[in-house]
Amino acid sequence: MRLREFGACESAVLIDSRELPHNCTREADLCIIGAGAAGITLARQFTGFGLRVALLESGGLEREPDRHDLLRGQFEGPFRGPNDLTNSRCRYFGGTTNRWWGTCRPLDAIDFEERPWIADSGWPIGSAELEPFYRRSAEIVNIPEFEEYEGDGQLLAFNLANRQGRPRVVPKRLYRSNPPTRFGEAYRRELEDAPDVDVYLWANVLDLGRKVDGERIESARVASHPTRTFSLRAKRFVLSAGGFDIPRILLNSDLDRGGLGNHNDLVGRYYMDHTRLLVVGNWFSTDTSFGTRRARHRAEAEPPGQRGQGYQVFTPTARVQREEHLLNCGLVLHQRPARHTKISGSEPYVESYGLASALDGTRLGHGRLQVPQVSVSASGMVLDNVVKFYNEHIPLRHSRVQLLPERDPFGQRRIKVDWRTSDQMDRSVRTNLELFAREFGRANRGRLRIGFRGWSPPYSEQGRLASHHMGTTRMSRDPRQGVVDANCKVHGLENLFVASSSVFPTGGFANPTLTILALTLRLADHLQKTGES
Amino acid sequence: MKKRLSRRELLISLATVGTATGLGLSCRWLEGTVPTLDLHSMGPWLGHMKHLGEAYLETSPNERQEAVLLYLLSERFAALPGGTLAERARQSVRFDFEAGDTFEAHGWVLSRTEGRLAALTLNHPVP
Ligand SMILES: Cc1cc2nc3c(=O)[nH]c(=O)nc-3n(C[C@H](O)[C@H](O)[C@H](O)COP(=O)(O)OP(=O)(O)OC[C@H]3O[C@@H](n4cnc5c(N)ncnc54)[C@H](O)[C@@H]3O)c2cc1C
Repeated sequence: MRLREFGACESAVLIDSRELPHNCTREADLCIIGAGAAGITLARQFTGFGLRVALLESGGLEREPDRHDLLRGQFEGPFRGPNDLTNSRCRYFGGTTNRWWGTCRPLDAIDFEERPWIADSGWPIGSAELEPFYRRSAEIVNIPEFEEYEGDGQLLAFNLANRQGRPRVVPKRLYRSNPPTRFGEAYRRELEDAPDVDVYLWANVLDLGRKVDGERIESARVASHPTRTFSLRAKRFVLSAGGFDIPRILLNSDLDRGGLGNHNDLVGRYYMDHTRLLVVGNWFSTDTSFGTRRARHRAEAEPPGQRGQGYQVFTPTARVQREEHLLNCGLVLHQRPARHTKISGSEPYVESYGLASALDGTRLGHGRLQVPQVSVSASGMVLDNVVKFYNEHIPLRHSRVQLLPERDPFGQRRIKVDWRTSDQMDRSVRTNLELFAREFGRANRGRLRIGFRGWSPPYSEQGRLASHHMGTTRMSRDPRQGVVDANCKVHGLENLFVASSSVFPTGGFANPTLTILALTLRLADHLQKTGES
Repeated sequence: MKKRLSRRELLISLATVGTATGLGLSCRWLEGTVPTLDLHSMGPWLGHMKHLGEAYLETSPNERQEAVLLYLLSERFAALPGGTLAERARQSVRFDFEAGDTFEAHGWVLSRTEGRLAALTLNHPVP
């Protein structure tokens, strides 16, 4: 049933699954499950291709309480509490890009490598293979063509090359457009106009069905309402429901046999998220041109409507990561308004906030973290010079998504997420921060204060998980080490694929969506080349 | 370069060591005052440096005697390639960071040279 009138829009051709007869069967060549960044991008690659595509989205066009409730579950970890599951995802058309900030960066070449000091690291594909897809992805999220760290000029400007001319840390960029691309808004019209793509809204996939021990998925069981279901039969299926809901669908399918694609007990394991330590220390420099990010509010980072140049992030070079056995990371020097702002700005007073006074215990800052107030803007605003730190998560088997016995109103079992860290991760954060402190000191660009003492309070109170759900259906050539192969096909199943950060074996420090898009475009190429029309 | 430097000379080098780092005095204050810098008018700054010096000596207690500090700093500066005292102080700081010869004061990562220079202020009277 195609609707000519749909909600607030004029010429929409979208399918309201709630209007479909109970127990009916629909057909497609390709069934894509989840209409977020990945699902929408994949569907767009098939417009005019000659295949019948069904894009199934659990929610409608905006946030609705009953769909949002499906996100509830349990979360165990050092940062935010149970809300993490509901805050970190959106359950409606456009997916989590309805909330995301749009910061983008490709993974570094070293992130794809097998690094002997990081157990279970190594992608079956390299960065060169993703490069052309990264370039196309940049268009989709409206950021400029990115460059790798932008040559010797910048190193020299920052005085970061040492006496042998070999840098130990390098400046790179995190790109962001303002406003961030909201996939639901940006690409809805294109999908509405596509004659070969059916977008099913309120189509909540419960599980996937196959013949007993069969190697092909035959259909998806879909619920538009807790008491109304239909079946979507297709030749091929792609899961693009996000890093928590993909393992959830797999584990809820073939439930009594331990879940689909789970013969090696890997589905849901190796869950990783970037830790974003908002104040991992402070910095001082009178030289504010040195890579400082000064924004009162995120939206101020980029002029509206422009392709985002983003802001500076410092990272250890691949050579140093190898030599010192470090995880990758990114450090941003950030100036943000202190909470009890505004002082007169008269000069001697301003100067008394120099590092010298910050070092004086009697004057050490304010607030729980003892942040020294060290700069004053032209308008007399007191600015905290804080160090933000984005850390690569180490792949750990016991960091995982599991099913709970509790079911949601659609009968799907809810999830429990255990986010785990390790001593190696702690050591790496600390060593990386010391490295930055030494390099900035050597280059005489400023001094760093290291606040990090592990994940327990008060540092955890300043930290966040970044809502980057990675690793839960990891990629490996070997079925004993991964859920999907190098083409993102689920091992042991002929026609089931995954488009998500859930396939990342490791996640670097960069925000994941650009890489999700690059992998999705690559998957689209693969599906088209191997197509069954 | 003189073999043994005085506390006053070394403190002036500290005041000028790194305006970018904020440990020294600001450029504006220094303008025209070097080399006749009057440390007695720098009371608050000296106060801060004393705290830093104490933090350094906690990490290196065997350098508590001023004579030891003067000796170590004079030797170090004499061995550097050249230039004014302030330039040598800056070089010394840079080489410390390069060699990882640092210490932590209230979490701030600072060079040993900065720590030693700051420790010299402990015997300097605050006006
Ligand atoms: C506050 C916030 C800020 C962020 N900022 C950034 C950033 O700056 N940069 C960055 O790279 N990333 C950021 N992210 C992460 C980013 O949003 C995700 O990486 C990205 O949206 C993932 O795309 P996806 O298509 O895999 O999943 P999603 O965008 O989450 O889409 C999944 C879709 O699947 C649907 N779905 C789920 N289950 C089912 C089901 N059973 N049946 C049918 N449909 C289903 C959902 O409703 C949803 O529409 C941020 C996230 C948050 C929460």
